[in-house]
Amino acid sequence: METIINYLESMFKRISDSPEASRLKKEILSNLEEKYEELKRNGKSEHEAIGIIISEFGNIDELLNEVERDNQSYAQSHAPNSRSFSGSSDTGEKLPVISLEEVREYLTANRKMAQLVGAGVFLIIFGASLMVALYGLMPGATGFAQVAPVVLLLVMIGAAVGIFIYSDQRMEDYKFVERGSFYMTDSVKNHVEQERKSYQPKGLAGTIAGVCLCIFAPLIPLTGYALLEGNRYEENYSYFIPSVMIAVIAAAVFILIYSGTKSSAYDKLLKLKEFAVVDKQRNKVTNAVASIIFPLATAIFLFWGFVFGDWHISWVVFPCAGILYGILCGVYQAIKS
Amino acid sequence: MISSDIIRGYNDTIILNLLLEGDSYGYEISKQIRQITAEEYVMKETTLYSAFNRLEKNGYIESYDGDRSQGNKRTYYKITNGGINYYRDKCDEWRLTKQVINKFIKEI
Repeated sequence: METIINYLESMFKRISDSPEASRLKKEILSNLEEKYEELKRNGKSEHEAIGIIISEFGNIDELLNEVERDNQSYAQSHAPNSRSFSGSSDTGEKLPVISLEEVREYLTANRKMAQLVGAGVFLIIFGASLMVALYGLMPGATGFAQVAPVVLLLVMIGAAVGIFIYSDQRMEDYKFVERGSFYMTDSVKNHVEQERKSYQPKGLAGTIAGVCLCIFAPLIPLTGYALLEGNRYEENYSYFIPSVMIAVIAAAVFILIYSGTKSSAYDKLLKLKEFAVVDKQRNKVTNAVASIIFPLATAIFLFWGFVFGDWHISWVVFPCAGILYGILCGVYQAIKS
Repeated sequence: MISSDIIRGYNDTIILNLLLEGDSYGYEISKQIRQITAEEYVMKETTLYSAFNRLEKNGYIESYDGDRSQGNKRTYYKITNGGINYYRDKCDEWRLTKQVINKFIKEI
């Protein structure tokens, strides 16, 4: 049987990788296996059986024509805009094939994006931290000094938003990866799988570090205030303590965003977890439902609050919307299966 | 043994005929062809599978995964309404072809 498998593999080398070709190869192999078993059962020796199977296999060009007929040629182009098309998704659309080169480019761009977005969010939170510190430094200030901290925060926010827009623009070319509209050959998939595995410990370390920092952050005010009691600088330093805590949280958030974004890049490429194709259809429906329910809930909340002034009751709309959303999704799932 | 050139136009018809009896899969169809023709025609694997591919693309058959005895999935094919119509047309075509060619066949 080994001989037959090798024979089939070598025949299929002439046919380019695609989900269709893979599936066909598996099917043919499975049938050849059965043929082999039956030949052996009817008294043929191993050699005879293999000989018969190979001689009755036929000309691979016949299959080549069939499988390749709908595939356009593989132009190995590096420009993201001129992709080569091969293979089809479950809905029958033609999807671009992603090459290893493009995968590497995507991962590099994703890493830069992770740094930028992380830095942007860090700036905002750190800006808040600085703002608190500045208030501490200048109690009772007047004029510009009074608004300086707020101005500083706004400047930080502005810079961060600029960074977000820039990094989003840089990822524009890779939107198809985000959407999962691509096909990946088995050989490329293996490379990506390996890289994901080697990144996993780092990603885990990042998540642990980020979460731990967040948990330890409240320790800063707890110990800080205790230490400061009775200290004559208590008045001045008391603003630094929350400031430092916020700064620590800013660092934690940066770590979480950075390692999280890098991890999810692999999930997107390999279509794991929430990016799995099976879930796509369900996601479309649940997203549609969500985009109706929650704005509607917000509208009801606002209307109820403004018209009747019952803000202290109207908030209940949101948990109700959440529950309703859960019910509808559950119903959809039950119908589907 | 019939040469595959001769039979080329009717590979699809042969397969559809067998699928009319019931859903089936690759090796079983190949075996049936061999048995029914008493080894006069053995369809090559590549011919068989390119035919399946073609028939499915044209909507004449549908595939689905069925179980085999050892538990793996095996691809089964079933004929569609479009396939039945196509089969009828091919049968008519063959009857006409037979009639035409027979006019030129004689004992010598």
